[in-house]
Amino acid sequence: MNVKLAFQTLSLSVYNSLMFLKDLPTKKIHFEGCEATANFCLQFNNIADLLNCKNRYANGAYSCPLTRSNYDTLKSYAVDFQNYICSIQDETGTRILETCRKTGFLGLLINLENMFSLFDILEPLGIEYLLTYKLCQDYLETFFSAIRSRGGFNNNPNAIQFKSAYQRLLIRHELSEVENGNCIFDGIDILVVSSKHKENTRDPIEVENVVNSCVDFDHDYITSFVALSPFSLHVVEYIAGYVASKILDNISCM
Amino acid sequence: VNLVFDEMAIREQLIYCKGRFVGGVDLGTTDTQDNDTATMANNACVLMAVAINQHWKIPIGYFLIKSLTASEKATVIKQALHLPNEAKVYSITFDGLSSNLTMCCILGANLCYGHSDFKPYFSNPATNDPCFIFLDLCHMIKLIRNTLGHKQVLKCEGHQILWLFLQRLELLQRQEGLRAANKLTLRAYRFCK
Repeated sequence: MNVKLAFQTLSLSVYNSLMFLKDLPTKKIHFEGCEATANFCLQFNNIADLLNCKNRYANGAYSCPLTRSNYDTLKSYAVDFQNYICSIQDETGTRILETCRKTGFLGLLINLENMFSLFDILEPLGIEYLLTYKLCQDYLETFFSAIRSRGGFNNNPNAIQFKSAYQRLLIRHELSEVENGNCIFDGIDILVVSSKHKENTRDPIEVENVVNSCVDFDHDYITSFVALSPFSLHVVEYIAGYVASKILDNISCM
Repeated sequence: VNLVFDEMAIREQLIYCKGRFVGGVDLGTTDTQDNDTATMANNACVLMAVAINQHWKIPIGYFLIKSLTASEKATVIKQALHLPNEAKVYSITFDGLSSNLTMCCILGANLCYGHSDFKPYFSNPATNDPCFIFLDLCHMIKLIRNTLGHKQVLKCEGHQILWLFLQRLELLQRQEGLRAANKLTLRAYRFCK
């Protein structure tokens, strides 16, 4: 099981790609009428953002911690999501919540409902914000990763190995991401980050050299020009624009 | 405090250690180690407490199990809810195993969405506060992806949601050799073999 792949399928970037390709004339593969599919990806991406907030100071539209000030906004989003999930049907027209594969959808409904009830209870006890990531199972999955990484990455420990790894980790634990772990760890190193300031590596390119080299090695590329498909053309344009904007950050033109 | 609950697979093996056998089902209730007929455990079920308003987590306990029925799980959870001394448990998280959902019903929740007495929490027997149920987000997203992948077609307000489009997107990106700023690869949609 690899959870990362599921997140990549139902993500904002897939939504953007689909909407972009819808308008693009491609000869071989057609994308007409994919709005509903794209919207499906978008909705679940937003739900995942709402229920997976890690940072107190995050300020995305959906990925922000639940506080009193944005309670009503998030609540209205959640109601929209709940209505959307309820309106999903399978191919025969049965509501998805009445089929045997309802667990995923029902689970999200329960989460969306409960996160607000939980905040209502906790607020009088002096909690200012609720990080929804705290309600994820990732904490336990990283712990399992740590257990498996004991004894030379033994991913199938027997009872005694499990017991000793468990006891060892109770005393002193170090967590790090494992490539095939069941969750996404944000990858912050615990030990190797020093408090020393990072050297500012600005302006590594000397502008004059760049200009000169351009003049020296200016070739005519027309002969080797390859006709690009419309899709590739847009992608190449995008990459070129990204490179240009990055370079603009690093060099200063007169 | 949030209580997290999950199982992890371990090797089925009986080991002779310090005069007794280890590796059988061990719920900590009876002394089953000397029993020759003990069933071997293939899962370790771990409970962990995660602080909501502070920055710590701590595993509370583990059980070596073969599999637990819903009512057995309910007993385990009830025990665990009594354990924390100063911290109070306000929520509980687990994955979408059906026996976990049944367990919640045994503890007094009602999970029929849209029903008039929909009640996604149960009262904590230790403190009588409500204890809210959360299902793990990662697993839920995965289940939804799998549902779409297996059913191929879902409908929403008359529009069709087709898995086909995701496959076409992947195919196009593979043919062109360029990706439109997403991470969809062959692996992502070939999850079901």
